[in-house]
Amino acid sequence: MTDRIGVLGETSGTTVGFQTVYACPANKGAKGKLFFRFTAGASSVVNFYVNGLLVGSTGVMTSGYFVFSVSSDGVLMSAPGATAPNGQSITTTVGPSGVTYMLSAGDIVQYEVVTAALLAASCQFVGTEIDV
Amino acid sequence: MIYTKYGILASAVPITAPGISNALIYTCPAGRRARIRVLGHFITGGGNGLACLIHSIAAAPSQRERQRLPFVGNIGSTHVFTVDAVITPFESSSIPDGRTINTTVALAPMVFELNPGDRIEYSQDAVFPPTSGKALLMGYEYIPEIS
Repeated sequence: MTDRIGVLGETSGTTVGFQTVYACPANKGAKGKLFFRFTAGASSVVNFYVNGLLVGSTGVMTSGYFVFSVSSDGVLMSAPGATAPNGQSITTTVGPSGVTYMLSAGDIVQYEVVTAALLAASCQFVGTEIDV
Repeated sequence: MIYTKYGILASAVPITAPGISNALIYTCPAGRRARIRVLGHFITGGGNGLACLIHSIAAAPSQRERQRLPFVGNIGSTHVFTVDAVITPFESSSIPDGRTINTTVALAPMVFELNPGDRIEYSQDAVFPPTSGKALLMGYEYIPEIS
């Protein structure tokens, strides 16, 4: 038995294309949330996918704008903005998103950077992984 | 609880063939039970009406439909997706931006409870079928405890 709890996968990929945050290993099942903070390049777009299903898109962002996950029920992320998250309210604090996903062996969580590379990126999939 | 499967148990994608179509996507095995919720996002073909349907059918009695999750597109809208707030999937002309509960694709609240032999099917009306997208059935399959 090697169940895990915490950060199950992470990446800081900024380049245009798909970045894999987490892939559920063989003989495992997982339940977790996206937890991220990005800084946009000129006209960057970030699309989030769970096993190929689009769950949210930032839309076209201004260079230097911040976008991040928020811990609000049923919500994935903040609106992109020029102000860095300051932790003073639920909408200005980076937290695990309010949406939970369940994955089985081979299932993946990804984001896709479109148009222009990000200036900075940190994205984790946090939750639990169990033997099945 | 002893899980025999956990995570994405099955998925459904649009059917290209014309007419009313049905596809079996999951059957609960003998000796097991399952609890499943749906994460879905479809791009509709336009028009106004049913795009597709995820529904469960009981093995007994009489193969009766038990629960249904209809994805309905309206004129001018292209995206139909499950949200955390309400059972009925939400429709929008914009790509879900993840900023509010009605614009974030999330697991629908409805829980499909399945007994052995119960099944989940994907159905669509080809008048306005989805052009792309998918639905993921997330949950677990388990061995019921003997009491």
